[in-house]
Amino acid sequence: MNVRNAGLSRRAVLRGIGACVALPWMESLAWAMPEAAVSAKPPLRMGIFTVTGGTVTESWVPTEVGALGKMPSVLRALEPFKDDLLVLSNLSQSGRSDNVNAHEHCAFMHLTAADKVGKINGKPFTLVGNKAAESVEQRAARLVSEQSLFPSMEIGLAGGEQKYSYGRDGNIVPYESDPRLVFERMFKGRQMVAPNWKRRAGENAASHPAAAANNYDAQVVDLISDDAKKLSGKLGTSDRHKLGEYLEAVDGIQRRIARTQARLQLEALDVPDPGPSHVMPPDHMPMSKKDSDAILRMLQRNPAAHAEYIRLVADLMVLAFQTDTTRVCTVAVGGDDALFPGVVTVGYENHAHTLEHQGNGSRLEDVDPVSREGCRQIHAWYTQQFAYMVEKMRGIDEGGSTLLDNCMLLYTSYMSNGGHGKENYPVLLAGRAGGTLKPGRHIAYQPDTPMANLYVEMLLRMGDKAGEFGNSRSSSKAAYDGRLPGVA
Amino acid sequence: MLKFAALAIFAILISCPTLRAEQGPADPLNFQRDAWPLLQEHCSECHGEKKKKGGISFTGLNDLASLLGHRDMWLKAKAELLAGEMPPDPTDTDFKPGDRKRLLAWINAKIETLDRNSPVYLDPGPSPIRQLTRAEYNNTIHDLLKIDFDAASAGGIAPEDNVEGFNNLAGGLVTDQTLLEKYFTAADATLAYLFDGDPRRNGKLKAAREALLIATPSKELSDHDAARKVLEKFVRRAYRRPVDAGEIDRLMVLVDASLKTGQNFESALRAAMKPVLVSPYFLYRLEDEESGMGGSPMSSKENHGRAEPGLSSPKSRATMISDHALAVRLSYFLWSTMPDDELFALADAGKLSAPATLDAQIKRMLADPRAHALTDQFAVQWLMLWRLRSALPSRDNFPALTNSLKDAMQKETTLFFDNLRTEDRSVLDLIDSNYTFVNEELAKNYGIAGVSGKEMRRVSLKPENHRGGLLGMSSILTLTSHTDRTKPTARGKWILSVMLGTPPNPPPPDAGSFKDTKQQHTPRNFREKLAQHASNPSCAACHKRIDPLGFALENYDAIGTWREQVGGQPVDNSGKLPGTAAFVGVDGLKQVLHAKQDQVVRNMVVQMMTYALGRQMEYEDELAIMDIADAMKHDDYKFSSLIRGVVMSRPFQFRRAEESAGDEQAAGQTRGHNERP
Repeated sequence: MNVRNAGLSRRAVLRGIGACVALPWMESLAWAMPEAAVSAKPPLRMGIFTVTGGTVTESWVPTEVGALGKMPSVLRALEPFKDDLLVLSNLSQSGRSDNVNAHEHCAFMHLTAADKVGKINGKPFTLVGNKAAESVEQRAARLVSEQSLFPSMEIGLAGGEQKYSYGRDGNIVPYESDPRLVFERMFKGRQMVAPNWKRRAGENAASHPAAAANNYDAQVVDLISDDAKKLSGKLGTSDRHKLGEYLEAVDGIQRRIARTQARLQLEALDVPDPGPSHVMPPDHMPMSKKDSDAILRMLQRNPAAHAEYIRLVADLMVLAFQTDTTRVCTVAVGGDDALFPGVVTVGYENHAHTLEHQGNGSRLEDVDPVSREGCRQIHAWYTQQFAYMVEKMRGIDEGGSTLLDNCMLLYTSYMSNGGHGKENYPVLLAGRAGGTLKPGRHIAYQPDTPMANLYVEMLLRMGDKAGEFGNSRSSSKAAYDGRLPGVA
Repeated sequence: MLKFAALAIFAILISCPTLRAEQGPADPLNFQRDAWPLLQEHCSECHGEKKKKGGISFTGLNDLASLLGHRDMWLKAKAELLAGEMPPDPTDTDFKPGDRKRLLAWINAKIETLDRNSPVYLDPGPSPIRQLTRAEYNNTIHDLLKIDFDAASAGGIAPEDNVEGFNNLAGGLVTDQTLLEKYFTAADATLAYLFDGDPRRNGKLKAAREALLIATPSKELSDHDAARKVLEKFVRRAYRRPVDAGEIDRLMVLVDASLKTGQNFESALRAAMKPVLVSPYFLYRLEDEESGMGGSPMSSKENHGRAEPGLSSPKSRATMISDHALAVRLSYFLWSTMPDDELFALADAGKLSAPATLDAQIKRMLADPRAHALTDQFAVQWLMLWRLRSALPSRDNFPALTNSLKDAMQKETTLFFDNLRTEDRSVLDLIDSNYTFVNEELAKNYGIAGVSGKEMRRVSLKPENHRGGLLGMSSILTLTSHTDRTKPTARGKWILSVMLGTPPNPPPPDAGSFKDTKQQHTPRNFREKLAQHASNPSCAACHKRIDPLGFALENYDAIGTWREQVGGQPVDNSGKLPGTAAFVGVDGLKQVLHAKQDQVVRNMVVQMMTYALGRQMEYEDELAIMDIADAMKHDDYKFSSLIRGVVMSRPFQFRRAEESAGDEQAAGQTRGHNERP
């Protein structure tokens, strides 16, 4: 096997002549500098906080539209923050499914708003028309991918049946459940510092020439990238597709190495002159794999451990936004299989899934009221955990505005209720999205308005030009020209 | 094209005296006489011209081509007939047991005689490239570097999902940037462990270094040359195939760069080892032309004496895999790790695929402790044992359910499965056995006297113990139960999926909302409640197959303790399945499973093949499955006969070569080899 054959990459040529200094990714630094560097205010962040089990609709949806009055019982913990909340009702999904159970059906549609979802040979697929349907936060991540360290972060419990996130080619995006690994990935070899947005606004990207990088990892990546490309040419179609995953991953790492260099230089300037907020690692961060495993093992049976876990991953989302580690972050929490002794104080059953089936079917007249009350208690409890995060974001000063002001934080669930419901999802947006949302209200749309319309609104705020997403136009229930009037 | 193939086969049929179409009453190929009248009378109402339930219709089957086609339909029909699911009306007394047998015999004969001479048989099915699983990766690092180090955990690599029952299927394993970054971290940690540890304090580490550093710099040997020697051996083992000089050259660039900056020999070596540990050649199992191993077109190689009529369809180009690839398939199948030196040596010498050698290697490998992977990986996944840890029964409701009891439950099942291998016992022991494995705590749960201590040991069972086989094991009974009670539906589903290989379809979306249609009387117990629920027609079709199996196990509570009463009433453990006689309790259920023994064995073959090949079974695999089950029957269903059957099967020894970008010309040549004279 000769390195210098046809199809040799320019990178390999550079290496071949021993030119390790002028690594090509250096050229990308100029355009890789964050856009925010020339923008006058802190950037918009998009967060998704999604729980399992839907909600108990009558205890979530406010009875009045317009200004938020007394909050319904599931949302009671958010009472102090209602001026920052936009509750949206009657948003629904209409995608069909093939060869999956009802949980998978709802989960695969959840963030993709796909026309059709299902499984082939055990592998999930999501489709709009005949094209793979990307999930909303992955689309958002692509829009801002070069502006922060990670295009997006996916944290929490979203494996098994709950596969929420899909890339552009329909590939499943994994969630990191171990908080310790999330933290290490964010801050290994990097200082925790709040960006000084005011100062950054005055900086000129070109004034920071790239320092000589540690290029060993870049060389390793180049080497395996060449291996994979050569290999790819020898494979049949389906195998080539498979190896394509690897190539894309290598490509992502290459870009990340470049971004990291640019980032570290920018942040080095923040260290002596940081933004006004104080950056702290999360409390109770597990320090070893053993500690992480223990909390992950316990949380399904022990609500105290479960709450601690949710707060940990919520802290990580806040920290990721506060330090501009990413601008798109999804946190998936809860478990349909979890037990809630002490949270559920009625009846003898406290297994979420059993309660959902007995008490939260879509036909109200058929359900067991005790189980329904159990479900309501669980969802009020989830809201308490969410409220913790909202409060924390509101306490972070970004220089005249709070982190919450600069966020668009979706609180929702992959089902609308525990009976695998697909109509009238629990949906609320917290934050002002940099002034592009007008919170403090409840808006009721016409029944069956596509959830996709919400995603269109969120993506537009992240800079999307397409103006459509998922089945926002193709759904038989398409409404409001694929938008949500009145949110701004 | 298809027509041509069918004609060709027809030609084979009439030209081959043993397969002539009309040969008297015993001839199984007579569709008009043996199959058609039965299909017409018992099936056509739902699967005919008008109704095509389940997309199946037995119409237009008037020539050989139409019989040859519809392969999936015949396979489905076979499964339904075997399971006794079809025809669905058990009161249809016109459909006699003999009729079922006759129809099955015809379908089997069709697969046997028609397909064995068709391209279907020659097609070994897809051979997708496979990513190492987390467990395989860890084992491979362990054996490659001879270190006791949990590299996957160090990298934060999470266990993969089980997709369709197993975590090693090519379709379910995905690489993405996060995972690859974790492999980078794991590689760093592994090399740090190997090079930064103090070998004077750690004998194993010292041995590992010595095994790796087959050359060290000296007066005669430069740093460069020593590193090259070390890398040549290391990379060959890491890539599990011969490596060419160019590949080493590229790694030496890193060595030289490192030496140039004044790093020492070990640091320089380490710099070149990292890319190997994150290379696609290490992280994926690549075979033959993909990786430069060079597979051999099948006609150029001894082929175990099998007759090989040729192929003309490019889709079915089949090549026997090289000995290098065979070594890799074998070692990951039986050991979940890379080949050892003996397998490498046999592959290098081109001797591994000789039947006698291969047979001896299977014996050796099954006796090796590494074959415990078949229990740890295959059995734990197949039997869903991995769910035991998070099973719902709680200590609040069952104070006896300590962590140590759960451990003992798990160990009982894994020791039992391991024992099938080490003593080469019949796999039918899984249905019933007169022995099992317990320690004191588990024996107490089972009411078996005279066992003391934590050690698990083998005990003989008496009928009054109500144990034996999988169905008497607390592990299975617990992982299919609720927090405070049994779940007969979950137990029934487990039996259908795991033992019989006929999992029920997912419930419809509105299932579970126990709705009262016409207010029936208030159910007296759970069984009645479930029965009311199951009287809803959309639920009934499945629940009547599922629930009776589970109710037969009602004598076992949610953690598998035997009981005669539930809530003050005698346990109702009677059941009846569509198309079978009534049965009572676990003993009755075992008789049902014995009666369905062929189906149970067939399912084990399917599961083992799926695990071995890393993909779901396709129609092309049907003959191999039948052959393996048949061979097992003639070998007392010994565990080794199952393993040998899989290894010797065509899908395991051949690969279907897809067209690739650069080998149009090569493809033409291979086709040439395979052309029928």
